[in-house]
Amino acid sequence: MKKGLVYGVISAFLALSMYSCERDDICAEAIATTPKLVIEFFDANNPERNKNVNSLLVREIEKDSTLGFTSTSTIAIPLKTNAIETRYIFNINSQSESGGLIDTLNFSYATVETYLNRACGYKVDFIDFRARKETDDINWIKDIQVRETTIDNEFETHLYLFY
Amino acid sequence: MNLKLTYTFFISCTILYFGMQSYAQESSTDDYVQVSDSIFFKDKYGLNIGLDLSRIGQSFLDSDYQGLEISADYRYSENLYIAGELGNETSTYNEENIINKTDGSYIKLGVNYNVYDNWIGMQNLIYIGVRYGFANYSQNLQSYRIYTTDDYFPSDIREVDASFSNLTASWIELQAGLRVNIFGNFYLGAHVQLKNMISVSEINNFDNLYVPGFRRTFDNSNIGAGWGYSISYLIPIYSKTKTQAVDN
Repeated sequence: MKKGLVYGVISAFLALSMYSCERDDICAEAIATTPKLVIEFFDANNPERNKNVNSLLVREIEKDSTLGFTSTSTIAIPLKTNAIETRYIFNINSQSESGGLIDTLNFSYATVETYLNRACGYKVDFIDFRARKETDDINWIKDIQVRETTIDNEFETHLYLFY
Repeated sequence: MNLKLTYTFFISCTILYFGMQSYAQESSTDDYVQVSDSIFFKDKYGLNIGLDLSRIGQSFLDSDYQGLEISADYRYSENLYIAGELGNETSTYNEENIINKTDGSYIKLGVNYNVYDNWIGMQNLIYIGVRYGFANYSQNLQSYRIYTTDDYFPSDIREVDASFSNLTASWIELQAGLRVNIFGNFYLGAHVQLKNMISVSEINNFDNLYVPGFRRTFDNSNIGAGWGYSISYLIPIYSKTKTQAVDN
């Protein structure tokens, strides 16, 4: 009876220690972390229809590196988590000889930090999201429309852009 | 009447004296007395005070850890020991996205049950035990990084230095271990621990990454694990004479 007790305890320890040794020090991809701003492009002449962008280069105003998108009507770009606004220069048809057309958009928001877990740390969600064009004259963007004022995931489209 | 009592006392003492003498002649050592086909030996009962060596070792080897634990158990009956541990731990979780320091003390109380049948005169243990553990501690979240899935913007690291004090936790712990008499009244012991958190303080927008005594927590379960190696000293308080039949 005593032997059985010892074996029982030992096997319980082994089983449970394996269960508890599951790795949780690497941030899993399935965890929703800081979301990007999701923008969907529409045809200004036919606002019901998506319109793919052609060689669109997006660059934060203070940075040299660009994010490139082509043949897609939906893009996702990061917002600064340590500021309350991010300004992006949108350069469409950047591969053309003229260098394409440029517009600057200003995104403003408040940030909310949320604890995720020990591996991922914290994420930032954006609330009171607003977007505006920095110049009144129309280069290529005809209109923008904020769809979600709270950015807490990447499944929804937060901004519509008509051109 | 008084005279009669005096005689009785005197005669009794004489008999006892000679009895003791013959007893002394037969015993070659202090602990063993062989009379006919049985062995009598003294089973020590007392307080066993121990020092955890694994925590001292880890304190030297691991710059993110400082810990000390003393343990004590009292032999209540032949196989049952009332046992407890008292300790203090400081542990720093220093990873890519979070740097957090936990500091606090703990106490564990419970019993150990010996399942090992010793050879005559030996005092070794193979035991299983249960404990109720309680910890009082504080956490200091030194810095954290905002997790992003791309690196277009440089890392946003927040040096917050936020303190969360007066945190408490309690848990039930299962132990299994052994303790071997090395010499005199000194013993070496090793045991493993498995625990289940009962209650732990909630922290707003953060978590308990480490609980002193419980050790590290897991995000999705209440289970914890641990171990210990210890050296201990038995302070004998009294002995019980145990009789065991001899086969030959």
